[in-house]
Amino acid sequence: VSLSTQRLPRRRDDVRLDDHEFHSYLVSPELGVAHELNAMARAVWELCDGTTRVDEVVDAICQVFDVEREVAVADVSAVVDQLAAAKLVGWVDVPRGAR
Amino acid sequence: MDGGDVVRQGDRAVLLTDDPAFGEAIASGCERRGVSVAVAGTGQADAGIVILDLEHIGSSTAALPRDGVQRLVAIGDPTRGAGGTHIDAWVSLDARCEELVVAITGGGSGGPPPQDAPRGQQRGLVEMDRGAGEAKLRIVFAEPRRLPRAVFSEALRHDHGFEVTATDGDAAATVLQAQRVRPSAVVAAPSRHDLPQLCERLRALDGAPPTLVFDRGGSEELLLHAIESGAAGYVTGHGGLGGLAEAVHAIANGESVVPPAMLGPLLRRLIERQREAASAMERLVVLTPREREVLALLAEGRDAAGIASVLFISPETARTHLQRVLRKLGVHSRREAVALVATSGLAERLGRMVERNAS
Repeated sequence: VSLSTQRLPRRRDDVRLDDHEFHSYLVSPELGVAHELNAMARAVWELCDGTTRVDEVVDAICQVFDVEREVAVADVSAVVDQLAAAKLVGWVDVPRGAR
Repeated sequence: MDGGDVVRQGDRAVLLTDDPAFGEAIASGCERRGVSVAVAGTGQADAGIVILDLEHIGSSTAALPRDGVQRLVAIGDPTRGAGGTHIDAWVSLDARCEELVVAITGGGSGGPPPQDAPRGQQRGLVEMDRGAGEAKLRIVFAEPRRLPRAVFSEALRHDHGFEVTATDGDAAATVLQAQRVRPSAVVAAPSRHDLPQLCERLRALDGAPPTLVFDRGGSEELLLHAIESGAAGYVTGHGGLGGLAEAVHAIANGESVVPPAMLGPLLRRLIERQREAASAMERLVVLTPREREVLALLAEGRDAAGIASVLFISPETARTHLQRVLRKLGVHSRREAVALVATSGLAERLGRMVERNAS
């Protein structure tokens, strides 16, 4: 589902990113929970802006880290799906002209 | 303050810096020379001797506490000044650590000389740690300025157990040292322009040591440049010497290193580059094979006459092709067309397309 080029992940506006020395957390006052993020999940969260496709994130990650594309797809998809399941990101449709 | 006073023994010295790694390295180097220096973030000085790291202190020199400060020492470029603050002693980034110690003590003895004073001084080989008899992680540390080069390589050697060969940061000297000592990693604070060359030449060596770019201040632009140049990692001074040492171990183990808070912006920049390249590629495919040849020659720096002579066509025909290329690419000038090819990383792909057409 995450790799769909028809829908783009978009983070909720009311969720706050808190950086601490070794970990980052997403804090949602409305949902009343905090989620711990590792470095990659933190970066993926920042890119859930409603304009960036998941496969673009995967390609960029492959450029930085020496990792097989299949592994990157699995990792990024898992993060986005977990964020979506926790209702921290939603989905928006790709504008028709941009497909 | 009186610059002529010799600081009393026991006076507390504090280094103000936003760069914890440099602070720890300076403190470690001074300690080995008998002078104790504490490190503090900017605006937290409570000491008789205050040392300012002017490259990494923000703009807060004017807000420095004056009460009780006997001696103010600045590390940096004296020609740039310290924002009107009177400095008792300047220490250039090209100074030796001993000069810093003298500046701190005001000419008084800083204590015994370090046990491992710099030895080799031929070009490219500044300091060398020879056969310690145990398996240490061997690195080449490339930094153009003497003071940070000396204190970082000493601290990595003495406090973190690396075997360090330091060079002056020039790509050729760094590659030469890497060839000679076969390090597990190269830590480089090189000038921007020779970073791609350095990474490429290191990758071609036997053992292909990975490059860790050490950017004390931290800059998204330099991070992007480092990754696009093929560096295995990028680290800032914000994690202290421990963070630097950890990053060295990680890249020596084949990992990639990017500061977590900078990874998102880096990926964003890479995605923008991918989009620019895709958009430029879309424009490129509408060119005819002849127009691609013309564009490739233009990107090589040839004018209409030069293009005409290579393609055996008249200059007038070359100009007509150029006009069509500009129109199809949607750019207004030849310079813009060249920039489009260069910034989108299309030069190589364009070259391949032209070669395919020719064969």
